[in-house]
Amino acid sequence: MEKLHKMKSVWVEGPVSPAFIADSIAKHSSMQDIGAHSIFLGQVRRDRIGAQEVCAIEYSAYAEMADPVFHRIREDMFAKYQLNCLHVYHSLGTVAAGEICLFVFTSSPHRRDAIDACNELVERIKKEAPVWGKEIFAEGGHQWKQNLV
Amino acid sequence: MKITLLAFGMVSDHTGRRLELQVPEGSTLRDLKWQLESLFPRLAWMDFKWARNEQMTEDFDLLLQENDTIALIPPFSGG
Repeated sequence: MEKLHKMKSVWVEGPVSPAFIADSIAKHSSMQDIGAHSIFLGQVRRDRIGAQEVCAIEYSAYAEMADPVFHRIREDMFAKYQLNCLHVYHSLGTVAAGEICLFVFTSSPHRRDAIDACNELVERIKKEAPVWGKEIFAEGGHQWKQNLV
Repeated sequence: MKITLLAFGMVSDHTGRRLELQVPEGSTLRDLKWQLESLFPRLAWMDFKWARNEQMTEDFDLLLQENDTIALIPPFSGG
């Protein structure tokens, strides 16, 4: 039977903490039909652009449009792959270089579904979610991040 | 009539994040585009798409309605 998944919010104010990630993993120990997890963590990179250095990214989103997009991607993943569960968390606001801004977590009975779904999710989020990253320079000023397609 | 304009990413550097605008009854999205380009001339050279009430649109003949929310959507850069 088709499972219906309620719309979950993906937004985290500021960085995703390592403790939150560890806790998310721990919570799955009670789900013992899972045989594999796959995790993607996006980390803010200290890019150097000419003489400027990126010290943080400030994320903003059009949440009213983004929430249905995340929901649709999630439903597509459940339809395409055999998954026990799937979690996505994306930062809003300021995330410093070295901190985590995207946490994608898929779980399945066998590894292939978890790995493939996780990869596809990350690609689709980058391409389809109305989210913008403003790269803040240590010396002041900013530029808008551009995702490589 | 009143419409709300939302701008994101690099477009918002030029327009601000949110504006309330008055447009004449019967205005189309094209009329609004011209109005915005006269207010913010750099918009004419910027890469962005349009959304009306959270739906993407490329229909510039679209008639605007009172309380519409129009969003200017540059290329995404999440993750």
